[in-house]
Amino acid sequence: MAEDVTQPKLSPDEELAASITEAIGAANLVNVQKLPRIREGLVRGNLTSGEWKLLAELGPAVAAKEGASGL
Amino acid sequence: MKMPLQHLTIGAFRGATQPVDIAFEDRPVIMIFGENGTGKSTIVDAIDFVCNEHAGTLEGRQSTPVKDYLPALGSKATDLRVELKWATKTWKATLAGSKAKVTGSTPRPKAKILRRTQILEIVDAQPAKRYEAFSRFVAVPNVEKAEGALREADRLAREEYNAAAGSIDAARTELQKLYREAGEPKPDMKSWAKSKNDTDPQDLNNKLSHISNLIAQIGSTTNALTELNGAKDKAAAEALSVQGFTVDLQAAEEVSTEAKSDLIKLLETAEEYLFHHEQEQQCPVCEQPVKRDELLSRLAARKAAGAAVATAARQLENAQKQENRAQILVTNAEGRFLSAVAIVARGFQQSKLAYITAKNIPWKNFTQFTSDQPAANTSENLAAAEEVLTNCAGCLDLLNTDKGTVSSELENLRAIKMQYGAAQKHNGKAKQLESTCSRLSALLKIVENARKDYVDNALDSIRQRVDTLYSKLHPSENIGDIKLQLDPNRRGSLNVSSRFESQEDVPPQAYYSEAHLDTLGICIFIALAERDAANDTLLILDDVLTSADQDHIQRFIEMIHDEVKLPVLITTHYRPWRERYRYAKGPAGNVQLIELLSWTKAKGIRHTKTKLEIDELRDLLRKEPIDRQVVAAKSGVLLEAALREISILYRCKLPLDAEGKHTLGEYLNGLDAKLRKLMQSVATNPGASPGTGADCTTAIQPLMDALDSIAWIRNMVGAHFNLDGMSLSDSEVSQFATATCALLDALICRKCGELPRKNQGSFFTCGCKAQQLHPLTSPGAQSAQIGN
Repeated sequence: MAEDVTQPKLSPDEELAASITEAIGAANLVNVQKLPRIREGLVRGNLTSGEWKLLAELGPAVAAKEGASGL
Repeated sequence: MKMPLQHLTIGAFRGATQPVDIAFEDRPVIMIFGENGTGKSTIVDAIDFVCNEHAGTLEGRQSTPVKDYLPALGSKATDLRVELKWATKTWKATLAGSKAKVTGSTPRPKAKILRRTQILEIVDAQPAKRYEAFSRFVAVPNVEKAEGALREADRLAREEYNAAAGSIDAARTELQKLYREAGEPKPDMKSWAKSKNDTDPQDLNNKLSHISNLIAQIGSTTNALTELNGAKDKAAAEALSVQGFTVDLQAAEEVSTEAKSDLIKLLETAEEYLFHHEQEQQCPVCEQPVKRDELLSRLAARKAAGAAVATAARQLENAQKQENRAQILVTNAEGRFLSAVAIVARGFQQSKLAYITAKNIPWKNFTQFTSDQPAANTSENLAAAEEVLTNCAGCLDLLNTDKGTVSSELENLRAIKMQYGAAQKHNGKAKQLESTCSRLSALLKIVENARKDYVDNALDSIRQRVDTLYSKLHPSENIGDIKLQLDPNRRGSLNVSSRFESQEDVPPQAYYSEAHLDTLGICIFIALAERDAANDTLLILDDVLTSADQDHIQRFIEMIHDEVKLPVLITTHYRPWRERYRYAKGPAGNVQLIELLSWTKAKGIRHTKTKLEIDELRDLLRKEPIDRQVVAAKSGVLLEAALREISILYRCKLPLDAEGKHTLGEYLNGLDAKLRKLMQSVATNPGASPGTGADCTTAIQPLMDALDSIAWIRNMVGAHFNLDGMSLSDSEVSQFATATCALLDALICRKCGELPRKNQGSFFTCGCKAQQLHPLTSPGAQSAQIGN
């Protein structure tokens, strides 16, 4: 007989947050180290306008910046 | 697909006045058939009670409080219990107050229940109410909240950027004005402003300081000269006063014997001496004895006689003192004037100002002022000093004009530097904000598009599923093309539209029949349940189909077995639905058929296993002696049902009847010899390799031919009172039943219990595809068979 092996389904917020975070990461708009916080903020709805602004101000990681040698 | 539900025990719950115990088999579909009032809803409510802690159909009804009416008639609330065995685990539920109290491990068994009363609610509900049913799949409130904050950040950053850009514009406007005032020097304003900004204002400050100093020095020197002249005038006045008092004294002396001022002084000195020496008895000058008191009286009398002289003498003395002081002041003022002139002279001599140099002041004539040594206080130097001052003061107008010009230049330079600096500062800020705005805008676009796509995809996925299910039920009926759309003007509002004939996007409630709306509601419910649930979630359809024609029932069965991805428990009072399984028109092998018997308070809910018709016939054959009439009748009915299906599949030629009814003989004759010769039933073994002989092929012709010769037994024994029938032996009747079973065994799939009816291109198969029926078309048919 069937065993109860159901994996907990992701909520729509969680599913969407994952895909948004992936898209933001691919677009190289913010520091990759901040992606987990973005995901959490999307899931919980607690990302403030100040945080978004700071993320945008900081931009992507230094190594990924235009003109940076990456060395 | 596994059936997670294994066992259900119900005690003192709704219609279960007696304990009910139902064991479920591991089949994907359970059908509980029962006429109205036999306890179908009690069973569903009991599952709902354990799985969802709902009071089933009593949930939310104020007129029938749960605590009063959930317990069975004549039972106490404390007697109520439901026990569910599900995937090897057991959960027990009792009633605590008006709530279910469930014990057992987590997670709880999952059951999604659709009741007849809910079907129309799904389709016919207000868009906002309907959205609630969909919201758990499409609502993303937290992402929307974060998106709102992102939108706000984007707006604020843009405002900041606009403010910075405004400041830049204001600074540029000011610079433009200053540039025009400056005569618009080449090459352009930007270069000019940068050059001005780079200019060190120290030179101008030094020049201004120099000019200011010269002006101040002229002022100081002029003041010093004024003071000197004042002192001189005062001294002259004092000298005149001395002369006046001298004349006064001489006049007083002439009119008095005691008028000699020096004598008066002597008398005064003697008087003072005597005053301080009270014991003195002789004159300290002539050493002659004196009478002190008489002498003092005499001295007073003599002094009085020369009082005018004394006064005149004192006035003269004071005037002389004043004159001396005035002379000292003159001398001091002369010194200050000379010093001031020396400072002015050095300042002007060293000045590089063109208009001062152009004056050609003869400094060689005034070396006493330009050297390091102070000029002596002589009348020549004083005269020279006045000459120097006159020369320098002659430049005062030019100095004042120049001072104004330099001050203005400095002011302009400060303004340019300030505006240029502001423009630079805001420019830097604007560039940073531009970058921030660009990122925020890109982030917002990503979040916004992802959210819209997610919601659209979720709705589209549900819509596609609904459409797939619905088109399975209603193929070629010019209905369907279901669309689910969020109302763009109302938050949390979902519209359903569909096609009706040639009309697209019409509300189904407007045109669809009640039966079509019912099936649409069922399809939406199934689509949502599948999306929401895991594979072992039980889908329960509680008496959802009330009436339908044979085609729709057949499609509904096919949808349940072929399309639905969840194990299903069906309750129904609709007998034709059940009968299709019993007569092998549905995959009876995949269904557990349970029949509820009539309910009474004393007996409660009773159930029995529903047998397939062929199984019943076999049971009848096993009994001794056989019930001849029943065996013959059941064989005939079973044979008619099977032959009817085959006749439809091959479009056999049958006599036309006004009511569409045919006899057993007509069915047998309809299957002509050519077709019979080609007909083969193949029971495949999916696990075996092709050509290994694992498939079991049965020729149908011998089986049919055998029935041709004995089918009349049905009418003779099983249908009418017939004396000739009585002469037939039991073995002849049994032979007819056995031949019927042999044909049905050859045709019906042993795995799923269904007759092959699905067109597979070159043959028919049953639902599970384990059984094949060849050929696909009858040799006598004019066109290709379509089948079901």
